[in-house]
Amino acid sequence: MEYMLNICNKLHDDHMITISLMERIETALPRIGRKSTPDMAEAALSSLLSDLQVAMQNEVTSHFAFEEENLFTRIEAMGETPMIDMLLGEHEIIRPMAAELMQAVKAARSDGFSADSWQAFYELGLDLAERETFHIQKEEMGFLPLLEQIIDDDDDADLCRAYDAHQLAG
Amino acid sequence: MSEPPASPSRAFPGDILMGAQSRLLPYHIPMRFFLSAALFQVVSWALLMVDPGEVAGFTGGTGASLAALHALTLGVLAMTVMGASLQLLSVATGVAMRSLFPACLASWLYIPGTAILVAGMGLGSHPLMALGGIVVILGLCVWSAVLIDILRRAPGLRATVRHGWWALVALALLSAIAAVLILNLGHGVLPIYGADHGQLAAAHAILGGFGFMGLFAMGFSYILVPMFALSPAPAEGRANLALGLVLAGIALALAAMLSDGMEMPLALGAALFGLIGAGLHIGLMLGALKAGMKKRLGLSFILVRAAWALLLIAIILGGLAGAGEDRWNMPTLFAFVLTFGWLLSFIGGILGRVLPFLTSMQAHNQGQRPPRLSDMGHQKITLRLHAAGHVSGLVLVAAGIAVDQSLLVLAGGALGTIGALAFLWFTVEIVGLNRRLNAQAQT
Repeated sequence: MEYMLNICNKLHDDHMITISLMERIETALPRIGRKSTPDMAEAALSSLLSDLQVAMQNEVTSHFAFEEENLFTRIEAMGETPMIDMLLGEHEIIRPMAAELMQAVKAARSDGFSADSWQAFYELGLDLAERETFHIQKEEMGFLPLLEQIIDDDDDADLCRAYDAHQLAG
Repeated sequence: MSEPPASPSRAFPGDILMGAQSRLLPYHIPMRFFLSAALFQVVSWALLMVDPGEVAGFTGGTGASLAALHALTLGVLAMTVMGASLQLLSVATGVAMRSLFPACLASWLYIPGTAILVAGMGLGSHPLMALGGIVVILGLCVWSAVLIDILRRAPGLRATVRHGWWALVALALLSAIAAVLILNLGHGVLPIYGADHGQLAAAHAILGGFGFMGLFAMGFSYILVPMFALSPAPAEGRANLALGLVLAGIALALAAMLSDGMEMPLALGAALFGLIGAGLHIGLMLGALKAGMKKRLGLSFILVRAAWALLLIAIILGGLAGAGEDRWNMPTLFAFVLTFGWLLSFIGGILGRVLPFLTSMQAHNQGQRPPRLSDMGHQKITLRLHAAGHVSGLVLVAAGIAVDQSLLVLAGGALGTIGALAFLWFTVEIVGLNRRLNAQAQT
């Protein structure tokens, strides 16, 4: 998918990384199973956890914050508050889940999974994957196309600079 | 930006996800249609078991086979289109309904009307058929008026809207023919010259299966498939070309059904146009799936892909039947693959995704945290059982029709019924969840 605005393409690239990671979670976790605690030495799981930590960190500290501070305000100014309420509501649901997941990953990478911690991680991971996917679905199909209609080239350049600043700060 | 930007005037597929809150209907309006459709799906499969020997050679007349066919076409397919169009089109186009009353009125007429009509067909009761037919047509008229108002005001989604207009034209024609057919069954009103009962019934089937239902299925796909796959909407020009080819195929098929002596070239021409048009449409859909960000679309989209294959098979069988091929009970086999195959598989696959999706939107609308989509309706059991029962039922009944074996039809009907019961379970769970979310929001 190619957008006309650079800022939409940057957000889309973030979404691509997150969706791909969520699909990896949705494939890997059921393959291991809720009741069989995995071995942390397994390369595929180790790589998934590592990627998950980086991506979730970026998602909640940089991507969400950038959208809330720079984009949602513009849409709200158009009177589209129900749309923004929905997206903000989802950010508020996803943010603590992502934080909890990052904590769980950190703990697992230092001590491994116990049966209980794995089951909690399993449920949390699948829950997060589904909610992230549904959220990105809304942003890709509704929010970004709307931005394409209301943002001009000058604003696009300003927004890209703000986005880069958020990335550096994150 | 110094001033707040104006709200864009053009609708896009994502509108179905965004800004939908204000245009979501109360859950009970679309869900009454979906729940009724799930019930009629059980009835339609079960009716195939009543007189399996008659199913294979069915060419018309009242009885369990006619009742099974209409429990499916009116009870499941049209019922689903009514519920889906009322909810999804108003949300996707951004056009709010002026009043909820006509949507409720349409359901009060159409749902019991369909039950009466199907009962009348099964029992061979002309008064019941006439009563049911009148009430069903009244319900469809009320629903059509609501839909016309939405389509007329829709600012975008032109490919979907265009399909909707042509589907309504097909509905008007097929309803008129249906009224004549019911009158003729009771009073023998058709003159001895002109089209006979069988020709009109064939035209009715073409207009229903490929016209009304088929065009709505194609039109909705241009919104729903890109939305679920996270892909750009297919090019409007190509969607229009596919529509034009399919319409040409339908026109030629109608001419073949009503002609005297030119059936073969017209039917083969119809199949050719239909295959190219449907092939182009399926190509656009597969392109959307390939370009989509989301690759894992689950069991639902396996059914949808199977439905697309069955659409092509139905067109080939229809061309052969129209050209006069009567081996393997070709006309009956064609009607079965068209309705239970292409259309029912498509609707089953799409509803498996749409019902949890709508429930989630309703939860958001009521300010509640929505349950996980995959947790709704015991999908791991219900949808898997439905898919298994549906596919095995399809294969066995189609084989039973082709080789004239009532035992195969009976076995297929039983498996299809099990699948349909599993889908009913799924739908009841979803409706129950909507009720609970609504009750929690009220308190």
